[in-house]
Amino acid sequence: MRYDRPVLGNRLAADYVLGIMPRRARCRFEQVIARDATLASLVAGWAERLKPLDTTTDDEMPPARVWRAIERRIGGTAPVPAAPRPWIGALALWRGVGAAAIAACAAVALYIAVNPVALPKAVAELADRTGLAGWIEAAPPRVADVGLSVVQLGVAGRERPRWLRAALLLTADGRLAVTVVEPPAPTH
Amino acid sequence: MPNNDSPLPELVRRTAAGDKIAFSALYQATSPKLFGVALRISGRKEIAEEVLQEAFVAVWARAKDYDAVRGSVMTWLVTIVRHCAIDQLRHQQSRPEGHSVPEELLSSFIAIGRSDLGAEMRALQRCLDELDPQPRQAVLLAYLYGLTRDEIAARLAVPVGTVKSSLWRSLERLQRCLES
Repeated sequence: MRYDRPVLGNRLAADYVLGIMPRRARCRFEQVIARDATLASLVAGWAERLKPLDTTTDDEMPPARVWRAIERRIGGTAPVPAAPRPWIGALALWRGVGAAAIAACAAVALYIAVNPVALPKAVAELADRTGLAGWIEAAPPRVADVGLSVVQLGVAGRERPRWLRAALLLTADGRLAVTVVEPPAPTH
Repeated sequence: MPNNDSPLPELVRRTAAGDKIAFSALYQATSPKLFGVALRISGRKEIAEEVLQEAFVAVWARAKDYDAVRGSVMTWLVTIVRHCAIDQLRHQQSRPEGHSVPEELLSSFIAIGRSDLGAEMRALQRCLDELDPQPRQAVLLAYLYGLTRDEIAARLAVPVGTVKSSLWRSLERLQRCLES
């Protein structure tokens, strides 16, 4: 898609801010705006234009358990400013308006019923359903291995799969919760 | 683009450096507004709590990517929360019941003269008033409640194609009006 066409760019920026883009298209668009300053400014323009609508929403104090849950999840993952890992350093494109939205996009917790014997297949189906990627190439072979894991993620339209870090958690009702905590590394 | 929400940029900067106290302060300063936004879209407290949690975990991980030139901190945070909420809603394929009609909601705020409705909201309201009722409703349903084009079409009892074309024409009019 030619994002550099001004009318189309403006239209997509409006769709993005309005929230009517399908998730998969939105994730692709976020990767583009992260490296395209013109498109990012169009997005910022629409966000500023429509943001007064949020003033019509009353503030609501979240329960204390929300912050406790956030604290637990960030407990061991404080970002270290110096000496980023090589593949983190390659993420210069994850900047700007779209950057944290990409992370939010990737960090949404996803659930699927899991068969302990066939976990990789189940995760592969999950990946296919979420639109995050085409498939999971490799994953922990047994439920006992569930935890913070590196899984190999196949991205549709790319020849080689990518690696990413994901928290895999078996829930009490036997479902597998997958939270992608790091974006895919670039292919080599 | 100027930032009107200082000291939030500084809190984001310190969060990016791994300062959990700053992150906590950022949460304290913004979570009531953001939880309200999440609740508005998701319609249920338990989902809104998940949305807020996911959004702030993402903010912690990506605070270094915030670029003040491209918008205020609050706009950036609201964008993250709205998309998280929309994702949750579409993933669960369920809609909360009992949503207010957005125009009535807006009108009620205008009518009682809320002091927190600033010049920007009044300008936006004036331009929204210039739109035809159905496209205006479509814009509000999408932004305020995260409805898809299909859902808007079903709610307004019009074809999806009509929603697509009228939505964009309305947004163009809205942009021209706000920039005039």
